[in-house]
Parts: sequence; C-alpha cells; structure tokens
Amino acid sequence: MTYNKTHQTVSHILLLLVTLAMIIPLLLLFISSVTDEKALVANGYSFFPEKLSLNAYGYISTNSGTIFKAYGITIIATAIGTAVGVLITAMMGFALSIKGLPGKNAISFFVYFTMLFNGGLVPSYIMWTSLGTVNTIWAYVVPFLLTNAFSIILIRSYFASNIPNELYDSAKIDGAGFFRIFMVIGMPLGKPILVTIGLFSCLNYWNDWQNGLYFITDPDMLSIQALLNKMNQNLQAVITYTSTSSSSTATLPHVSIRMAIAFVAILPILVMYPFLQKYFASGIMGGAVKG
Amino acid sequence: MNKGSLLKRLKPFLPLYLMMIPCAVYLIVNNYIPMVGIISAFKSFKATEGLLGSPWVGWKNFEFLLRTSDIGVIIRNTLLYNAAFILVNNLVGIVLAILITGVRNNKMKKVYQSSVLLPFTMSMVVISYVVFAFLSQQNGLLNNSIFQNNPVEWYSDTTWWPLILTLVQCWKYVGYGALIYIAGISVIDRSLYEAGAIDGAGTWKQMTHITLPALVPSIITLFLLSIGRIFYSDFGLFYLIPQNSGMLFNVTATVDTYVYSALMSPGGIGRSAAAGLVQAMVGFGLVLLVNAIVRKFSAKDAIF
Amino acid sequence: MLKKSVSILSILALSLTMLAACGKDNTSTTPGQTASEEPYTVNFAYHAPKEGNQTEVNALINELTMKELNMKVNLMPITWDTYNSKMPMMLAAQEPIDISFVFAFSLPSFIDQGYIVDGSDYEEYTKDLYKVLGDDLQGGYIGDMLAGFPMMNVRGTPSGIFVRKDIFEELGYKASDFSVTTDDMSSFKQITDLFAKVKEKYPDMTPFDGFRTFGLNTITYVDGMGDNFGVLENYGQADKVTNYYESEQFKQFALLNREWFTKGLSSKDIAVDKELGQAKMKAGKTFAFFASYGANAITDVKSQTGYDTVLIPVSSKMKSTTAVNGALNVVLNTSADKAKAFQFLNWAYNSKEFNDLLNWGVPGKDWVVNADGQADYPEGVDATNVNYHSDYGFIYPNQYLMTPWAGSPKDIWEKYKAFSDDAIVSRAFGFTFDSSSVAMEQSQLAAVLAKYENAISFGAVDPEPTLKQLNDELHNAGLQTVMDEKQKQLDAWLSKQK
Repeated sequence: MTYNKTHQTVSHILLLLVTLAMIIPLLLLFISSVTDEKALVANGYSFFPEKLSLNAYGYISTNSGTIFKAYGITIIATAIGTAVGVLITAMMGFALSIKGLPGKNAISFFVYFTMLFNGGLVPSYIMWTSLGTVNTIWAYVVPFLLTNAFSIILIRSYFASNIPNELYDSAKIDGAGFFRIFMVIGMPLGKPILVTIGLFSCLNYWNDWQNGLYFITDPDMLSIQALLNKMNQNLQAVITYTSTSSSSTATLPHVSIRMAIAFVAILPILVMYPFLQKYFASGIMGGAVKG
Repeated sequence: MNKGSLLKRLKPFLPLYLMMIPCAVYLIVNNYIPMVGIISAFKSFKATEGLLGSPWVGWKNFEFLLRTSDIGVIIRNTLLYNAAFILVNNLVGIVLAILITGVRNNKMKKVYQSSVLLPFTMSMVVISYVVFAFLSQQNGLLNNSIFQNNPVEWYSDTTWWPLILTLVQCWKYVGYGALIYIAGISVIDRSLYEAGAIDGAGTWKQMTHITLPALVPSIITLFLLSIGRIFYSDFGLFYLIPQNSGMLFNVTATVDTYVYSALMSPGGIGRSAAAGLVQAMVGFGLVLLVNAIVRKFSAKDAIF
Repeated sequence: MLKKSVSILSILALSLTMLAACGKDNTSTTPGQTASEEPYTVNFAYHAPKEGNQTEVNALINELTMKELNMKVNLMPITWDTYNSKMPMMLAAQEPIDISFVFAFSLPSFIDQGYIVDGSDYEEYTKDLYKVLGDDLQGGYIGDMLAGFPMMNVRGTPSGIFVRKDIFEELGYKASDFSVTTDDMSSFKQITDLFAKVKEKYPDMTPFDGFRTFGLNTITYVDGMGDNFGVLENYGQADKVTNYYESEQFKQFALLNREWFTKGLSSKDIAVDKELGQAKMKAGKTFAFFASYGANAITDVKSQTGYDTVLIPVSSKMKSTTAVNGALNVVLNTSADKAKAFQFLNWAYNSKEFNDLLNWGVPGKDWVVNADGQADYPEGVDATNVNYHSDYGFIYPNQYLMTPWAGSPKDIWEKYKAFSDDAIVSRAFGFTFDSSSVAMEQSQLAAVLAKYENAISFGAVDPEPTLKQLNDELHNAGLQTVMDEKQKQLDAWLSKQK
C-alpha cells in the first residue's frame, strides 16, 4: 500500500505500543526470577525490586549438564520435525490446490475430518508406544508432524489463489510436470506461507513437554520443556511431602525458581530470535518478488 | 465409465497422488486409527474386557453433560468466548498485518513482526504465573499501583474476567493470525496499488478495495477453522489463568473445564469421550453448514 | 463425496478395532504355576521424586529378591506429575505392571475400570503381610473386595496451628495459654486475638497464610468415609450420616476464616494461591499456618521452614479408614503371575533392607549408618549431589522398618506408634464407601463443591448467603441420594461387625 508520512508515524506509534504490551509480561517474568524472595513477599511483584538475587539460577545451574543435553534434544527434534512436517504438509497442500484433481473434495474432507474428531489420548498413546518411539527422538518428532491439519488447507488455498491456472494446464499435458512445478514454482512462490507454517511448527516443537512426559523415561532423553516441567513438579513435591531435614531443596526460594525455570525455557528462542527472524522475514518478503 | 478411461483420466495426476502419500499415511496412523477410541463414549470401560469387550451403555455417558444444572452457563461461556475470540483475533490480526506490512523502515518492521510472536513462546502455565503477578490480591502489581486505594478481589470478582480472558487469549494467539495475514498481503501484486493510486484511491480505499478482498480466502479458512472448534475451549486459559478459582465459575466454566473435573471419577474415560464426541459433532455440523454457504457464494474458497 | 468418505472410514475403523482387540487379552496363568526355575520379574510401580536414577538400587534389590524369593524386580518410578497424567494411560493401555501404589482418591475409578485384583483370593500368599497390618488391613477393603494394602506408617494425624516461636515468645505468650477445642467453638477466639496482636506489633507480617484451613481439612474433625458428602460428625462418633456443610461447626469455621480475611489477618490470596503454609513461612513474612501433624512435627516443620515453631493443637486425634488407607499397594490385572505379585508384596512389608534401599538408596554411596545407628549422607555427599534419595518413607510399604534419618528422635517409630494409640476410633473405622452406584451424583457434587469450597473455607466470601447456595446446589446435585446410600452401606457394615 502507499502511505504518506502521517500514516507512517501513526503506524509506528501504534505498533510500538503493541510491542510494549507483548514484551512487558516477559520482562516481569525475568525480573521476578532475579528478585530476592523475601523482597518479593514483602513488597510484592515489581519491575524495580528492592533486592536482587540469583539464587534461583544457582539452583537451576546445579543441573546445567542435563539442561544443555536437553537443549540439544529439543533442537534436533525441532529441526527434523519442522523440516519433515513442512515438506509433507506442502506436498499435500499443493496437490490439493490443483484444479480438476479427481477426488479433490473427498481428500480435503479426509484431511479436514482429522481436525474435528479424535479418539482421545489413550489410543494415540498405545499407537506410538507400540511403534517403538519410547525413549527415542522420534517420540518428540512424530506425534507433532502435523499438529494442525489446518496448515494443509492454508497452503492449499494459498497456492490455489496465487499460482496461475495456465501453469497447471501445461503441466497436465506432461504428467510428470506437476512435481517439477511444485519444486520450481510452488516452493519459491509458496515461501511466505511455508515459512509461516514452519515458524509455528518450530514453536510447537519447542514448547512441547507432553510427549516427553508420556514417552520418555530415560532422563538423558528429556527435552528442555519436559525437563523443566519435571523440575517444577519435583520442587512442588519436595515442598509438599518432605518431612526430614535431609532435603536441602526445602529451603529454596521457589516463586523465583518457578519464574527462572520458565525463563530458561524460552531463553534460547530469545537469543536466536533475531537470526531466525532475519531468515523468516526474508522468506516472507521473498514471496513478494512479483511486486 | 469403464476402467480404462478412469485410469486414463487419473494418469496425468499420478505425481500429485504420489505427493499425497506421506501425509495421507501419517493421517491414517496418527489420526484415523486411534479414532477407534470414539466408541468408548458408548461403553463402560473395563480393562479386563478390553475396549471392544467392554459393555455397551448406550447414551449413559452423555447423560452427565445434561445432569449439571450449570449446563446453560457452560454452553453460554464456551460459545460466547469463542465468538469473541474469533472476532477480536481476526480483527486485531488484520489490523496488525496491515500496519506491519505498511511500515517502510525494514528494521522496525522486523522488530514489530517478532514482537507479536513473542507470547507464542510462553506456555499457559507460565502465563498464569505472570497474570498472577499482576492480579495477586496480596502482592499484585495492579492492586499495588492503579487500584491501591480501591483494591479489587480479582479472583472472586467476576466483573473483569471476560475482559481479562479475552485479552490474555488475544495477546497469546494474535501473532498467529497476524503472520498468516502478513503472508497473504505480501503476495499482493504491487502494481495493483500503483494503479489504484493513479486512479486517485486513498489509503483507505486501497485497503478496502485491494487488501481486504485479497485476504478473503485467508479470512474464510481461518474462520472455518475456528467455527469447527466453537465447542472446544483452551483448557489452560480457562483453568490455569483464573487459578481454578471456584467463585469465578460463572464466567470461566467451559465444556473442557467441566469435563476435566469429571475425569478422575469412575467412568471418566467414557464420559470424556462422550463430551469430546459432542464437541466434534457440533463443530462438524457447523463446518458443513458454513462450508455449504461459502460454496454457494464463492466455490473456490470452500474447503471441500 | 460424503458417502465415499464414510465408507472409507468404516473400513478403517474396522481394521483398527481388530488391531486394538489383540494384546488386550490377558490370559493369566494359574497362580503359582511358574514357580520353578525361571525367576519371575515383578514390575513394581512406586512413588519417587524423580526418574532414571534407580538402576543401581534396582540391581541391589534384585540380588536381595533373587536370594530370598527367586524373583526379580523392575522398579518403575512414578513421579507426582506422571501419576496424574501418564499412569491413567499406562493402565488403560494395559501395560504390564504387577504392583502399583494408589492414592485412595483414585481407588474407586481403578476398581470401576477393572484394574485391581481382589487380594482376598490370594490370602495364602500374604499371611505375613496380614500380620504386619493387623487391624489396619480393614482400610484396604471396599465392600468384600480386598482392594489393596495400606502403607505401614503413622495413623490418625490431628491438626493444629504452627506459629513462629520467636514472635510468639516476644509477645509474651506460652503454649499452655491456649486451649482450643471443637467442643467449645468460642475457644477459637484465642487464635484470632493472637493474630490481631501479631498484626498490631508486626504490621508487615501476614499472621495467617497457606493453602490449608479448618473447613478444608475436615478429615481431622469428622469421618467422611471416602468423600465428604455425608459424614459422621464429632470424630466419627455421631449416630447418623449428616451433611457436614450444613453443620454448625463448618459454619463457625467459615465465619472465623471470614473474620481473619476481612480484618487482614490472613493473606488476601489465601483462597487462590496453592502454596502450603510451610513454604509461606519459609519466605519469612508469615506468622502462622494450619497443618495436620505427626509425632515428629516440630522437627519436621523446622526443616521445612527454617523456623522454630510452637504448635497450638485444634483437634483431637481420630483413627478413620481414610487416615489408614491414604495410599495403598495394589496388584493390577496386568500382572502375568498374580500369585507371585502377592508373594512379593508379602515380602516387601517385612524386609528392612528392601524398604531402606527404596527410601535411601545404595548403602555406602547414597547413605551410611552413623554412630547413632541412623541414616546419614556419606562424606562429600549432600542433598544437592546425592544420586538416589527418596525420603518418601510414608508412602513405601513399611516405614516402621526403615532406618530413621539422622537427627530424628532415637525411638521415633515407637513414638509414631504410640501417637496413634490414644486416637479416637471412628465408628466407621474399617468401612469404606462403595460409591460405584452413585458415581454420577458424586461427580456432580464434586463439581458443585469445587465452586464454593475454597472461597467459603478461607473466608474469601461472606458465608451467610454463600453457604446456603452451596447446600442448595448440593441437594440439587443429589446429595441426599449419596447420603442415603452411604447410610445404608454403613448400617449393613455395622451390623456385620457385631
């Protein structure tokens, strides 16, 4: 769109406000994690705490070896899962976008149906455990490949409205042409939507703690979210149950630990964000080559 | 039609079918096979008999949904919140997308684009801590500042919760819609705008005549997605964010929180399956309906 | 299009059903048949603070069981979060587990879903276990079914208020100044006065905090017989099953908490924040919290909070079924050899070495016996770097066999046992309500209670109108049906006891 100066200024002001609203809660999370527990209890939550303390991070760092390993697991699962997931989603979405494909509606229905109906957790659990994913990286990767059949529909309508029909007609004459069109035209032209879906898939994998809970018993295979979730639960259990003086954790500041644990979980994303964003932004802008 | 001609008709599309196979196989294994669990809605699950051998109980598992005198409140909350979320998320998402794509300064553009997605990285559990930091009646930021002289009992006063939940929800998820709309806008042909500008169309006119029409397919797909889930609710949002405070029940109870409370009691497996089936059927019916309407007006935007 | 999809679906569903059907069929071997050469492996699910560190302990336990039982054990640690989320799936998926611990609140649904094996059919294998539990075995029965074996630990924990000793004494109080009893509800005013004084002298302290209070911990005043819908009041001595939420006692408790809440004597977040009082006190700004306690309470609280405390008891000790069967060991239907599983349990309640291994880990590495004959960390090991250290003695088969941890009183287990001796025995001790016929009502009642319980109990709302709302809704949800059923079962049980 074409904008004049005033429009630019107004947009900037509005967007800066939005940005603030997005960042402030995160900031509060971080500040609470480094607030001295006693100061927190006495003065309440604050952006300008009276006394700082790194005790919470000290407690977490006793597990630093495990934490780095867990980051590794998460990164591998995220990378494999996103790459494979986006590819199979894109192929399906592309195929469904082709006009005149026999059975198109039935297959779309077949895809969409999975978004509404599910058999509950137990059958899925039986399925993935019996396929041998327990305590392997696949326990993280496989159940989330297509977290949302909706992405297929999204890609489909994107292709349908952005790829000129003539291309398809020419491809239909030469059967194998579809695959070539997918690689040569579909993928580059679809970059904005594929990148968007890839980003969501990434975040989905990064935030997942449930698969770790259900399918992993080997502590060396825990993903970062699963590990932190366990730490959080253990902390709670120690406080609730332990009676003898043999547990040092009983005297730990746990409000700040809770906050610190949450912060550690998103730290790598925050660090990598500018880099990721650069890549994703170029992907999204790349789609606009036509203009 | 005989076999030969069918094959002949399908042959040019063969590569497309091949491309579908990985995804189709995955959907069968991950989604369709486990759907056998749906029958537990009509069973009283007994481990020793297996799912299939367990006795049929007809509609008994569905009864508990109607047994509660609060069913009206639960349905009202679920539907109204979803309606509000669909409206607010799409509206804010589109506005953000238009604002962000209009920014000329590329660096700032990236900053804005990143920031709307930040909340996506936080789980509901974590968000519930942060919300509590704001609302805590003893230590909270709000009661210690703006409401210092007139403290609000946030966790027993229902007044604010529809607003709080809508805000939190929008805050966390708006980035999703915004990014999809940004992707939609970024492929609009620039020359359309230039032509519009030459014809004297102002920013507003360009938006209503070029940008919005281009976004219609995305809007329809997002809408169909949400309408199918109209009877579902984000459990974390309605359970964790209000700290499961009973006094807020009237404005926080939804189908999913109600089902959760029944899960641990005897027969929980069957009842949660029954509730899930009702949720799916309602969504399914609505989607078929809306899809049929869309098909009538703009066939290419229909999902099937 | 739709028709086609539907037919595809039905074919799929059919094939799946077959798939799900196999593997579900647990043809159990005849009891004791496999007893010969091949050692049987018992899958033993136990409550643990963490997973994955049990390999060495498991190996040592195997040595022990091979020697004494010709069996092997596979330890399956279940943490608090996996108990709630993963356990239900493992059970529904019928994964092979022989023995598991179960919290009493999950027992009804475990039985309903057919997970539990009736122990009374295997009596011949559990003779020694019966001896250990004695009367307390009654807590394991639901109707005629012996559902499980209670853990052997302290029974009948009364409740009281723990207050910070330093402040308490600075204000010139002595523990003997207080005599608070439910026989005279006005006696609770002494506590209100104490809190008010604390508030006056230490304005930045919160006198009362933590997610426990009188009305919520009903277990210490009335016998709820499994749930709290219909109770025997007055420590289980009442004649008839009544509705506790309509009782004068519950109302008085609610009013008391309301007074504290409105006067700022309790935390404004008390009804919402799920943290326990121990954690609150540890942070240094809380004067008192409510808790139930055992024989070693003051020492325990010191280690949890870092403060010396004075205990003001507010209830008598009651021995009820609930106090005994809070957690049980059950044999599951997935056990391939149930007789072996019962044999193993029989042994587990009688082996000191097993209980020590399970609780404290590898001797010499995770713990040593010190000069006092108590367990302690070896040189260079502490809570932060120890590999295996459960400290969940109360939820393992027999706590009374375990080596006590350093710093406990010499005769700690004697004290524990004696602690329960003078408890009031509820009339319904040994009776557990079989709620299967009113399961629907029960879950409705639970949903109603969830709306009001915390807010009323902690005084976050005015009890005057709210209590009536609560009771009206409870009655609408079928309270009377549940109470009648409970009364019927109780009467039948009582008449059998004579």
